Parts: sequence; C-alpha cells; structure tokens
Amino acid sequence: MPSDSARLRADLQACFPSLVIDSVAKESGQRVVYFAHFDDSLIPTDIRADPADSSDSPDLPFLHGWQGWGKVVVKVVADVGTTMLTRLQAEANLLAELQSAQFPRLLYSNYLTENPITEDPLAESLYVSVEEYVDSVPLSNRLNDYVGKPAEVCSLAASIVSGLRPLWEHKRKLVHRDVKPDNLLLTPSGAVVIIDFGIIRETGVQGVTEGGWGRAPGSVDYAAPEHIANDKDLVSFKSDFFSIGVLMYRLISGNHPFRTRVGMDSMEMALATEKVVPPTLFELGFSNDIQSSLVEKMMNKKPYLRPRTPEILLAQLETARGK
Amino acid sequence: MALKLFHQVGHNASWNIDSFEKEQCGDGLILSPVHQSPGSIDKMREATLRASIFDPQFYLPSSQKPKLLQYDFFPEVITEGFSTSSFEASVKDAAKRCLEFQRSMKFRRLVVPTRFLDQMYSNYVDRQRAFTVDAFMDQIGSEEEVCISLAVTSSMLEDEGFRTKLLSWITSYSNVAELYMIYSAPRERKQIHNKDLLVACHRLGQEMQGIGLELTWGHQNTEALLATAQGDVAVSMGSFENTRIFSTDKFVASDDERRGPKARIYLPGLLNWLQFDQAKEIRSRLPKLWKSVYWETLHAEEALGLVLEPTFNQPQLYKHYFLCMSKEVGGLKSSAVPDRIAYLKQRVAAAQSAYAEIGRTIQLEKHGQGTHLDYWRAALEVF
Repeated sequence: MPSDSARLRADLQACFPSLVIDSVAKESGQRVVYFAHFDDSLIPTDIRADPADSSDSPDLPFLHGWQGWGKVVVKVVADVGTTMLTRLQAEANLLAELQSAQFPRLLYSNYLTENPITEDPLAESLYVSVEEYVDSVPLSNRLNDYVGKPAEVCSLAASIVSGLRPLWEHKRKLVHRDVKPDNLLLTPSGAVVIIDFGIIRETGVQGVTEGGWGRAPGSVDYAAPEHIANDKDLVSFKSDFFSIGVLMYRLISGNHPFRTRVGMDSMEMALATEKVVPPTLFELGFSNDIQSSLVEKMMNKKPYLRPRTPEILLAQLETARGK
Repeated sequence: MALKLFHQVGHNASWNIDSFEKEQCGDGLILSPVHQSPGSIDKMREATLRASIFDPQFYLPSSQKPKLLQYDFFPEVITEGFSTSSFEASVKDAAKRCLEFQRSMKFRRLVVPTRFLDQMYSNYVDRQRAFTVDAFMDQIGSEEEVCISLAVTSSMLEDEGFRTKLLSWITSYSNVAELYMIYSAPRERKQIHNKDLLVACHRLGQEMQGIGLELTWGHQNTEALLATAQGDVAVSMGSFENTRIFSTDKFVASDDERRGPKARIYLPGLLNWLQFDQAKEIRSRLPKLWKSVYWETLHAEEALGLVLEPTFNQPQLYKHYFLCMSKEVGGLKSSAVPDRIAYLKQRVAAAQSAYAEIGRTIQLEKHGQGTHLDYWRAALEVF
C-alpha cells in the first residue's frame, strides 16, 4: 500500500525540484495524494528536459511555467504494477479527452522509471499525475447536511448524473464504478466535481482484474451488485445509477441502506448489497412516494429494472424534486 | 405507447400488405427477408414502410434460402460462405450495408440483428456482441433510437437469472428503445402448453413497461391475445404457421415442407385454429354454437362458400384471421390491464364451455382441441 514517507517525498522532489508539497490530501486507497504547488524559482538553471514531457505547454522546458497552475493535486503511486498502471493511464487519458467542467483538469501525468532530470534509474517506479486543485469540500464531509431534504438531494443527484453523462455516452460506453461521497466534490457555487476515474471501465469489456464475486476493484459501500459480482456483462451505466441511488438514500435518511450495523466488513457489505432490500424512504417518513420510488428503482438489484437511460433518469429526478 | 398489433410477414407478403393497407388491419408490419426480396420491399408504399420494421434475420447466418441470399449484407453472402471467423472480418461491412438498406427504406426504426443461440452459454452476451451487436452499435449514433432483435428459447425466458442477464445487457445500450423478442418453445401441439412460459412472458412484458422499453413480440400464435394483458406492448399475427411459431427450420427447410396439408380457420370463440372441415362440421351440426364461436368476415364467408376446401395458396382464411385479430386487439386498446385480464378470463371460460359442448358431438383432432386453454387459464390466474 503506498504511503507518504520522507523517501517518497525525496524521490518526488528529485524528479520535480520545483514541487512544494503543502499537505497530504489522502493517504488511503491505492495512492498518495498531496496538495501542492510549483515554485519556478526552484527550477535548476540547467534544466532543458524533453518538452514533450510537459502536457501544459510543449513550447516551454520541463517544469517551466508550472507555477502558474497555482494550487494543484499531485497523485503518486510508487512501484506501479501493470494493473494499476493500466488504470492510472486510463484515468489520465480520459481526463485529457473529456475536458468537462465537472471533472478536474489534468495538467501533467507520466510514468517515471528514471529521474527526468538526471536520467538516473529510480529505485521504485513512480506514476505521477498533477491535476488542477478544485476549491471544494468532499461530499463525505457534508453527509448529514441533506438529511430530510429529498428535493435538494434530487438536485444534487441530477448534477452528478449530468456530470457522468459524458462518460456513459462516450463511444466506449464508460462506467465510473466508484461513485461515492469521497469522490464527489462540492464547490462554493454548488457545482459538483467528480474525481477518481481510476477504476473506470468500458461496458462489457474484460477488465484488468480477475473476474469473480467480490473481486471487483473499488470500495464496496456504494457498489452495485453486478459490480461486486465482477460480472462484466452486467456492469454498465446502470451500475453508476445504483451507486447514486445508494448515495441518495444515505443522504436523505442519514443511514446507509445496507450498512445496518457498525463494524460490517466488506464481505458482509457485499452480501447485504446483493440480498438486503432496505425499508423505503417513504416508509421511513423521509420523502414523498415519488422520490422514494425513484430511489428504490435506482437501487433495484436487477440492472435492467433501473431507469432505462440517463435522460429518463434526469427527467425523473426533475419530477421528484418538484420542478 | 399503446397496445399495437403487427403483421409478421411471411410467404405471400402481399396478403399482409393488402390487409394492412386496404383493410386497416394492424399497426404495421415486421418485414421478412427470407420471404421478401429487396426489390419487392423497395416497391412498397412509403407510408407502409414507415409503419414497419425490417428484421434482418441473421438467426441462422449460414442459411441458403434464396431470398435471403439476395441481400448483400446477409452473413452467408458477404463472407461467400459463412464461418464465424470469416464473418468477424466482414461484420463492419455487413453492418454498414444493412443499416444503409434500412435507412434507405425509411423504416420506423433500425433493427440490430443477433443470431439464434439455442443454449444458455456462459459467454452468450460476448458471442452476440462479437457476432453483430458491437459492429452495428459502432455505426449507429448513441442518440439514434434502435430496436434490437432477439430470438431466445423458452428456457431462457423462464430462467430468471439468464433473463436478467439478457435484459441487463440489452438495456445497457441507452439507445435501445425497443426489443423485438421471439421465442422458440418445444411443443407437440401448435399451441403453447406451458404456463411457466406464458407467465415469464407476462413478467417480461410488465417489466419492460415499467422501464419504458417498447416490446414487440414476434412469431406469436393466438397467445398474442394473452400478451395484451402485459400492457401496452406490440403483439403479432401471421399467416402460415412458420410466422406464428418460431423455429430456425424455416431458414433451412422449404416453405412447402412446413405447410400443413389441411386448411385451418381461426375461430375466435375457441381461441384456436380448427381444421376447416371440422369447423364446417360444427357449423352444420351445432349451428347455435357456431354463431357464438365464429366471427363473420367476408373472407371467411368466401372460403366457406367454396366447393373445394381452400388451399394454402388462397388468402381468405389468413385474411379472416387478420381481421379477427385486429378486432380483438383493437377492442382491448382502450382497456386497462386489469380489465383486459378479466375479459380474457371470460373469453377462456366461454371457449372451454364451447369446447365441452363440441366434445359431446364431434371429436376434434389434437391441434384443434382446447387443451391449451387450461394453461392459459392457469397463467391468467397469476398475471
């Protein structure tokens, strides 16, 4: 598991001398994420690296002008295996291609096996990406702000659906597969920015992980049953509908529909997601019947019984929020 | 959406076309390349084409049926001798040509073909995708609504897990707005004697309604009437039995081999087709009952007036069926589902009563008997 360490920071700063790490944003999961900025005055005077390495401006030498990016998010994975590398590259390619206001802008990404300045081999390979910093709060910090506010949650869900549409309607029919509060950022203007495309997948295509129940990548709390089962034939944009449905249930009721007691491990959560049908929001008194039925439909265990298209889901969310 | 009735076009397509255009039977046609050459389709009226879909019928891709071989996109033609591997290299071209043909004819919706796989293979979806679906979808814009055709076995419909897999796969394409569904069922009689299949079809129809996916049932016999209880789906009617009972045999054997030697007439009051000579026997020996089971049409009257029994080359009995079905389905269009179910229960009860009366006088041959109604009644009880 990657973790922040003096050695990792030293390796990073050897490769990117102008990098100034401000804080650790996230250490859990599959990579270390830093908040940082670049200071051009720290660039060694003799740097004239391959300009093709700079995704920002190929006319400027490596690192030059990066200070202009301001605060950035630096994601690092050390000693990258091929599976992880495939995922990271997919994420980088996608962000570069989609250029959506609801996704963070990718400023730089590279897989480093040697120091780009000295060209000395690295002890551990590094995959480094730099994304714009989005002034925001993760939804996970605001979970309880929405309890008993189904109309607001419908608006939020509509924004998430709109944000994900470019993925679903992409020619490769992409699926995010990890829609959860940690990966949804709320900006001061109320916009939703979606992050972490690391386990994105093309519908119906064999992934890089082995198939089989419980072997799918990503976190289980918001995962659809077919994703947990790692059934590539069934994973589609409907799997993201399920995750958004779980999120809506959690926000409106204040309780996770499947995490019914403290300390459930991932296997118990997976089983609960597959088997448990939670009481409806209407039964719990948190929403009207229309809102409750829509969430119930989005969380249907059978993908084909969820709303049929993103357009239909958006229309139903509009109706549910009372517009 | 509304309850609809389509002609399952077969041999002598002109009968279906006449029925639709001149007698306003049905809401459109399901065109059939195994029975219609490209040239004959091209000559159809634009308004009729716009009300119809064209089923490319890739179910048996190596078919040697002469009319299918007139389509340059048919797998056997484009590969000059079908094999799965050779078609892989040609499928993009086949998709392009097939879609061009469909677009040029201005059908009401594009149909994406699949092949008929008779086993619940673990890689069923992969095989369908590799065969045609990926190539067709690649050439269709994600905004363009399409219909996907799927011919399955009754076991696939009855197996909830497999059905979930199939439907989840189909609905993973957000531009699939219609499912054209055909089933093949093992049967010793012409009517379905399988309550579980009828119930599975009913559930599927209801579920498709629930998610707003249009459902068109193809190759239906008189069980099309039961399917009206699913809600606003599209049901089908055909002339010869190979348009009312699906089997890939029709892509192999000649039509002549598949035709029954005896003419049959549809009697709405019995919810079944009876041998023509036995129907005439009912008319002469049980005239009062005849009035309750027979719906008079000009076509049937003409057939009943013939000195010789009508043959399969004469349209009267088929056009009579189209008129009856059109009246049956048309009468149900404005009814709510519970009312349709109640009405069908009454119809089945009345038919069983009529059958009981007939049985006291005339011994009907096995296909004309009302044994299927036991299964219909049982299915209606759980709808």
